[in-house]
Amino acid sequence: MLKRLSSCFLKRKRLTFSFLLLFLNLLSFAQTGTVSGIVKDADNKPVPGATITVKQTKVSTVADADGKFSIIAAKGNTITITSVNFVSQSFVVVNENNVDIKLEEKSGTLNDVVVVGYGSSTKRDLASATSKITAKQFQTAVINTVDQALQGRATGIQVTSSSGEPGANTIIRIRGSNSLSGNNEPLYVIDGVIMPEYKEASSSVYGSYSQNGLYGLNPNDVENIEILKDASATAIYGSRGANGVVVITTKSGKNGEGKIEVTNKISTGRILNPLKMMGGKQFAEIYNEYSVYKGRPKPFGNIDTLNVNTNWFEEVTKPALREDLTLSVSGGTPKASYYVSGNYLRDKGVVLNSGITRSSIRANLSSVVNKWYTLTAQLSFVHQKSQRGISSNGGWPDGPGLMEALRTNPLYSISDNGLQVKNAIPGGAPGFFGNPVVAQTDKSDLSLNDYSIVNLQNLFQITPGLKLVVNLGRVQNLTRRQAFFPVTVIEGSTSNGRGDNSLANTYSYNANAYLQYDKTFSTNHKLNVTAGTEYIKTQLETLGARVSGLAISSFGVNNLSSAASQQTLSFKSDRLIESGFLRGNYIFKGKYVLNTSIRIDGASPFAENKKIGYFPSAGVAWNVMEENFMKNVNFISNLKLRSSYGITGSQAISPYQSLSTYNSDYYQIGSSPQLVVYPYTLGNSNLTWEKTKQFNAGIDFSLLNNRLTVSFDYYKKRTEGLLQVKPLPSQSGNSSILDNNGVMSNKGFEFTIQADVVRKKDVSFITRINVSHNKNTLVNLGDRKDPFYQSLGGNLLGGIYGVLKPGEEIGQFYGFKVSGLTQASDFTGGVPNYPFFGVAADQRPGNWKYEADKNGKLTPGVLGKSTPDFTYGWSNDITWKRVSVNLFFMGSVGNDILNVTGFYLNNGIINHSGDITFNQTEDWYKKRWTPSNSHNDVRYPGTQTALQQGNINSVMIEDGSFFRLKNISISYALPNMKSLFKNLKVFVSGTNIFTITKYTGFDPDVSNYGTSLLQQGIDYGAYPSQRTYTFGLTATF
Amino acid sequence: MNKIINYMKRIIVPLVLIFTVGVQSCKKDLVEKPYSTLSPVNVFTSESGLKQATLGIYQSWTATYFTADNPYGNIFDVIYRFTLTETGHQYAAPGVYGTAFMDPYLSFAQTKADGAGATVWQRSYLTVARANAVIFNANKAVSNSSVADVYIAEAKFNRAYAYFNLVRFFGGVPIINNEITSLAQNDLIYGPRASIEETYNFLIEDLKFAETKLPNTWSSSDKGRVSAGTAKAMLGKVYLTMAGKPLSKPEYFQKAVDKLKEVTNAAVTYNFGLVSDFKSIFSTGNEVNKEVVLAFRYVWASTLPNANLNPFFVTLDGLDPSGQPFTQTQFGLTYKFWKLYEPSDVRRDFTVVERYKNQGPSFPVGDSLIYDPLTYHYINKNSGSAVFNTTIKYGLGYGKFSRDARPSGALPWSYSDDLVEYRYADVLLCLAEALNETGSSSEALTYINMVRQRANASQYVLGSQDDLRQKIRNERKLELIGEGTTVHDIRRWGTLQQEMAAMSPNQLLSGAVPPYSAKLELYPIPLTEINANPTLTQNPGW
Repeated sequence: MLKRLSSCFLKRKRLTFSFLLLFLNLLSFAQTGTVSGIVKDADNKPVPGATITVKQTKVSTVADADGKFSIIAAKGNTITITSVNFVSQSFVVVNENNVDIKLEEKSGTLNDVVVVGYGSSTKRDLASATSKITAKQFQTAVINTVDQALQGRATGIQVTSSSGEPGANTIIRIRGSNSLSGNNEPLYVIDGVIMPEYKEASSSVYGSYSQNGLYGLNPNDVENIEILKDASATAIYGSRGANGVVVITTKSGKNGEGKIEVTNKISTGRILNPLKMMGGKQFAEIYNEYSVYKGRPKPFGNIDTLNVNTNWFEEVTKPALREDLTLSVSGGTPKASYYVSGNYLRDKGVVLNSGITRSSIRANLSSVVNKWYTLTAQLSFVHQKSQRGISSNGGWPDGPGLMEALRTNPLYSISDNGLQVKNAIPGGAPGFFGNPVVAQTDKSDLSLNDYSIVNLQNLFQITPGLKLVVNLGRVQNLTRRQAFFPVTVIEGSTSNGRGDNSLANTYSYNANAYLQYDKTFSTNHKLNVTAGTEYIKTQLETLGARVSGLAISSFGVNNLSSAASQQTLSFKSDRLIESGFLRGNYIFKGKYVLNTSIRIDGASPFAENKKIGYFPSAGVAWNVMEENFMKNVNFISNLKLRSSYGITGSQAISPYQSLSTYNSDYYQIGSSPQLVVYPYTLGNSNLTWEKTKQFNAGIDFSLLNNRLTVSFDYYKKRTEGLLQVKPLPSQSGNSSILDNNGVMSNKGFEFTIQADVVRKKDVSFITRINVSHNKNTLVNLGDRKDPFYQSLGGNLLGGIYGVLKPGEEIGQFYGFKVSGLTQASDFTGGVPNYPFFGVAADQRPGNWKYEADKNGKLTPGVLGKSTPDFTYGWSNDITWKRVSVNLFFMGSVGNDILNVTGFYLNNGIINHSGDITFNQTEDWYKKRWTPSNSHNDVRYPGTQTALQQGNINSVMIEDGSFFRLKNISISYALPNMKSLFKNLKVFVSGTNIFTITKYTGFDPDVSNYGTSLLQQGIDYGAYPSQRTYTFGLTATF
Repeated sequence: MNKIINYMKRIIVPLVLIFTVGVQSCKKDLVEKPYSTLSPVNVFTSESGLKQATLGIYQSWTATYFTADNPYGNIFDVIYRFTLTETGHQYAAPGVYGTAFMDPYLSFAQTKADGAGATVWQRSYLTVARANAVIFNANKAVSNSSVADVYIAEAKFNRAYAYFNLVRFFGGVPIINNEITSLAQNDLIYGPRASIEETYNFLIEDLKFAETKLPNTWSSSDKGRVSAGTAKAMLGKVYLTMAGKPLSKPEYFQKAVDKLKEVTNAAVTYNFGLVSDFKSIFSTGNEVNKEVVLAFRYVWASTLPNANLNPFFVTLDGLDPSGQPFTQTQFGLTYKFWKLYEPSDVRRDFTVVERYKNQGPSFPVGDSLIYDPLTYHYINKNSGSAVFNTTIKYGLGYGKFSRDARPSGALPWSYSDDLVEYRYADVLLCLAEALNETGSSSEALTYINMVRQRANASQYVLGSQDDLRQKIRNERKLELIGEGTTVHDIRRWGTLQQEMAAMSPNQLLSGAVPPYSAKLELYPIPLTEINANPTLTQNPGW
């Protein structure tokens, strides 16, 4: 903050100085004397060690630690100042007065300021692997949270949307997954404040919904995002650094006249890839076919007379509308600056009665209190209200909205209100019919969230080279969940209305203090030392009330005491991290860079004698261009080699897992329930850190005056002591325990290329391509040798299992392979002559035929994997005078998606059991196997009468690779309108314009089934994605 | 001087701020103190803590639904225990909605990887662990050992009953005779199986301790805790079981007679007896009546949604007067079984629902549904059509559960019915069986006739010992079906092969009765347990 403040302040000074020089030049006359002055950098900080030479006399001197120098020169002499990293500067002596020399840093990426943990540095002085994204790169994109901006725009970071729901979270992996049971999400740091783990209030009906925890930051407030990837960059965050760190810097006021900026974006969207289900007549035809297979009479006599044909999918969806308005006021004086912004966002989704609204306020204030003290305050308050689309994996009997609508029998009429005892099949037993439209509109599932960040940064300049920074901050995330199910919907009907009102309150108290010492000794030795201590206490409180029997439905969940049955739950936990850290960076002649750091973390969640962890790192870099032998190599403008190694940790486990505890419950004795207690967890006195060792090697080079910039990194990570749930024999009284067991590795490479294809005054064209590859291997599972199958839950399929196989990668889909469709020749006298699941009576031609092993046994195997081989992004910026165009493409290669949605809609089974009937897609209907269309395409089986095998099969696995034009925007800066605006820019943009993919679901960018490592890449009734068109403008006053 | 003051300021202000950071840091702060759970040292500090921990053992038998820490809890173990004890005999059939997870047991196709055995094993050892916590800490909580002994006796009874179930399901199992407080206790955590006999000896010691230390009765506010009578009755049943297969120790018939007579001769002392109205035994308004020797208790209270899941999976759609929708009825009984009862027998239509007036809402309230033994479907008398899952052949509904309405506001799967584990009628039939096997057939006849009389069934007259043996075995099914004893009885009688021979393909979804195999006399040791503890050996044939 201070630095930014002073840099703008200096811009003005630079101008003043140039004028001064000009003026002095005019008045120059020869006279010998002493010229003294101070050499400063752009931030107005002294540049020690600069060489000052008088051209005529060859006399030279070196600036001292405060940048001061004094040299004998005659008037008219030319004095040249040179220093590593800076553009040489000369001036003609006009008098001996003190002169301020302001050196301009050499242009090029090496001098970019990189925000690192607890400080900043120039790229030149770092040996680490980092990526940077600036606000400019996503300012016209339609994003609700800042993580969406990361998608495809940087290497080493893979961002997958969970679904298309407004407010839905993303799954972010920096250089792959490191932890089996811990959190794999990166650490987020906003203006130096570490964000606590996001915890959402959960509902008893739908469980906890992973909403995006980054809702607490308005993307319009972001100035830039730095992604720290290798150990050299992340080890300073010690036990929180293993998953990478995303450091976000928000905007601040600039010195000068106040500026008012309004940005408004209005978007409209439609479902990307809508599904067409069978119509009424088609449904009746299939039902008849099914009945014949079952040996029963056809219930539909004359299909042509049917006139009900409800398109339930269309009924529960609608076009989306999004409005995003930001107003910011910023400005400053040399002594103080301010940036204050407000944002209102309303994103109504494509599913009926869903969407989010959000309002946020941010104030970044900074004041230079006196010569040695600067106070910077960050204040941010965000309120968000989300009406959930109820499209997640609710499971039976709490049907998820969209999935239910897709499957509902089209012969029911839209006017059939919810919960009639009715059956659209003639002669069928009447049963409940839950009208999906009524369900979607009558249910209410609200998330109400408030996020506040308050941080005070106190900067003390103790001596010119030494400063102390003390941060005191508090982050609070209050989330509430209010779900209400009136008697008109299934969930509420069985218990006369049902409701949930719960909250989860996370508050984190962050305090740190660190000393920074910056000094250059005798020109060649640059030293930068940071030493500090940090204290972070995070407390989580949850409170929930669950009721049923709500006689007065107008109360909703606002008068729970009116309910016949009430239950309250509460829980509280806290975790504490106490740390000390030390970083030393040494740079010799600007050529050789050594970065070292160590962090010592004490964290409460680990066992008593295992709470302290040490996380060291070291990195070296060689700025080859600084070598003399490169001086004459003109076509190369930069060449740098880097390498680093270090250890980081992960401690994202719940508190108290190392302890033996007792819990309480109730049991009826006598005539009333009595409080009981019982042993609950068995302590693990060995529970300790998961440690990730990472090696990184990289090269950066640019050619042709930085017009072509290339960066390549290779890394190898190994995580040891994996925190995993280890099964215990139940005879211990516990079935599992969290333990450190096993090794996982990730290796990969990252490649970025940026080319300034056209760099002219009126026309420019910059193109950037980034490619990342990561390969994960579960090296071993400790003493467990066999593959381990872990149920992923789910009620509809017989069972979805994830597999942990030592020696193979995480995220494989495991199940039975469908080799083809059964044909008439597969039956001998009506009896199947192939191995099958279930009963022979259900077998008939057109069904799935599973691949058997050589013994004729049906055995499951690996069917695919959720992790991509490559992810990539390709961004193009074209400007021509006042018009600029951005084209942003992104995608992934080599990943598979478990399309559970598609499976249910295309398996040819319309009768699940009893009276439940499932509609199927029209695509299936048209291409399905029939005796007259006896193909062997497993995607289109014939009408089936039973689910033969509940586990995953290969038909559900689809190639999830895609190439997408994610964003295209055209903006135009209106010419001179100074009387009204300082600036007015209008733009139109489109999101998800086209996608090349084989995936048949709504969107291949999906993973909505859960956040655990084994639940990735599953599409289970996911909220559909949209294609949106946006009109926006930015006006500055 | 000014310069010094100036620098002093630069130092002092930051120092104050650093101090505020520094005072927070203190290594002992890293020690965790949970807010929402208890530390073990805080439990056994008083008698009330001891009582809470003791009642916690009983709670281990009941599955909870929707608890704070376990929102989807282990809901299935009660229905799995039902499955292991009540399917796999000649009268069991699919329920009106199929069989789902019960199917492998109905059709003798279970595997060692099935969840039912694993879940029941797991829950049994949970009971053992909770009991051990009380047994080894009771004397820390109270100084008077005679006070502590009552709690220890309750704990030992529960531990013994858990082992009695385990040994009948799986054979000999690992004996955990100490409290496990550390992962270092490898000898217990990874301990091997004991033999069947060792397991019985261990649980008999527990029951002998319990019968001497427990009170004869409890006051009404403690109703539901086990008494000396419960322990003696259980011991008698254990002896009877040991007399049969696989231990085959006929000398134990006499031990069973002696022990059970201690109960029947002092029935008044223990407040045991037959309830005159058979149906009322199972009424939620009449729980822990004098017929109940042992029950585990469920209640849906307005603040306590802890409920029994069994009725949801076993009862018929719309049998419950509150109009239960969405049941998942997976268990049925064959028409042949219904016909076993005499028409006058009050147990018949209560236990096996041959016809009923549906209470809605799946069918109009009052519609008569009548079972058609020819099509194996219920027929709706009004519409004339077959109902429920007509794609399969299913059995008649089981009716002992959910004759009372679900509590108001309760979720569809939440019933308050207690799990009745052991009834006085069972005590009488056990005694009759033991007497008959020891040659006292005429005395045995009086006990079986007491049970038949209450049911309004005809009185038996004395025939041969073998004739009475068959009658007693038959009576146990008529009286106790669905109450967790059927499979255990078949195994100790050694009649599984005959049961399977008497089965019809129509009562199995697979349409074929598999051949008998000796391995079916025990369930396999759950695969998950063998994987977690390689010292466990598998049962023969699995």
